[in-house]
Amino acid sequence: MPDRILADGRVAAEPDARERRVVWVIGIGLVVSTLFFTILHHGFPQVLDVPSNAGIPYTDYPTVFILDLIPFGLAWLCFHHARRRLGLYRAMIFLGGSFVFTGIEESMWILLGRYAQELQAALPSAPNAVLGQGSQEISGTYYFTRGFFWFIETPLLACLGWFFVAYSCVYVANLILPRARLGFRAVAGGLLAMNLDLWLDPVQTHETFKSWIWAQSDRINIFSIPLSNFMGWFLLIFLFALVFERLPNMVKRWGSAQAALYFYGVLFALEIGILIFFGIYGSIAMRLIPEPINLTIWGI
Amino acid sequence: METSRWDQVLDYFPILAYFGFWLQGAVLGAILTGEPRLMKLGFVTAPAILAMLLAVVRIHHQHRKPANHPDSTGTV
Repeated sequence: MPDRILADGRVAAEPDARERRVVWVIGIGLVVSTLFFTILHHGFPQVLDVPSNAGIPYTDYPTVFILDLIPFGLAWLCFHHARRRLGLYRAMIFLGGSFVFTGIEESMWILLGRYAQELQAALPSAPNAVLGQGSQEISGTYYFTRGFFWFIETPLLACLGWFFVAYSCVYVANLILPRARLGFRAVAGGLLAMNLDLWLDPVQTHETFKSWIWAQSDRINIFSIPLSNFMGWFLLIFLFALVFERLPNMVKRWGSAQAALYFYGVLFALEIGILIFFGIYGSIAMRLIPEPINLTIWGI
Repeated sequence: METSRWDQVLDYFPILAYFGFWLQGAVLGAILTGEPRLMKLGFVTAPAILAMLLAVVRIHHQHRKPANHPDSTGTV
């Protein structure tokens, strides 16, 4: 099987019995966890101290349900392509990996900010840059306001959004740099995703939508959005692309089930690595830059 | 035997997904805010849009290559 996503007319083979089992486990895991966290978010908001959506537009249930259908459709386009070109096994690994990788990463940041005071009390040596101090009005780092389905504290539309943005950017990077090494293609994929976010974030955080709310600004901001957010977009897709292209080698070495476990283990280790990286970055930025800087065009 | 029409269309799907997200999340969003500054900010995504268009051209060329037949790849 090809190690990268191509557009050469190849049709992947049907999955064998072991691959099918992995596909089922990932699929059921995604559905069950999404249902669980959706019920928790809407039915028992006090458990994770979900902030109120009072005054935030487009947050009624019919609207958020309809808005969730759009990323479903866009994700289907990429999943169908992946299934045909890479096979159901690798398509599902990509979907599950990007969904969980980003869902956990986003939720980790949201919850670290939400429970900053408790964590600060429990871990007095933890840097404020990691836990987030928040503004005077809202404590924490950031949080999402809109979504019908949820994975931990990240809306399904964000998790699926990460999947299809990652897939399309990695695919396009492979197409426009066919002879480049994996590292360069992964960098290009990360930059393509980050480039979209440079516009998407200022639009979606505007008063009209407030799709997510930043409670804490970084020392360096671009268009009033923390630089760490853009670094995060780049890093997540860059690292994911690097690991995903090694999946065929993992399968050859350990078989489909163990390779899937190893793949998700590597992603989880990377989550921790990213958290440490941003902790160090935040601490250094807070020491070196006393006042926040906003790199802006037209005052945005 | 050439690659089926559906398989050729399929290769544009990931790019359609990216454009769909760009249109809905950014373009339509910026229009709805009514903020001219946010609309102008859209020019920052020009590199990504150019890359997508280049990818469309590459896919079109790949589909026209005589070597790009299922028989010659031996995978169908």
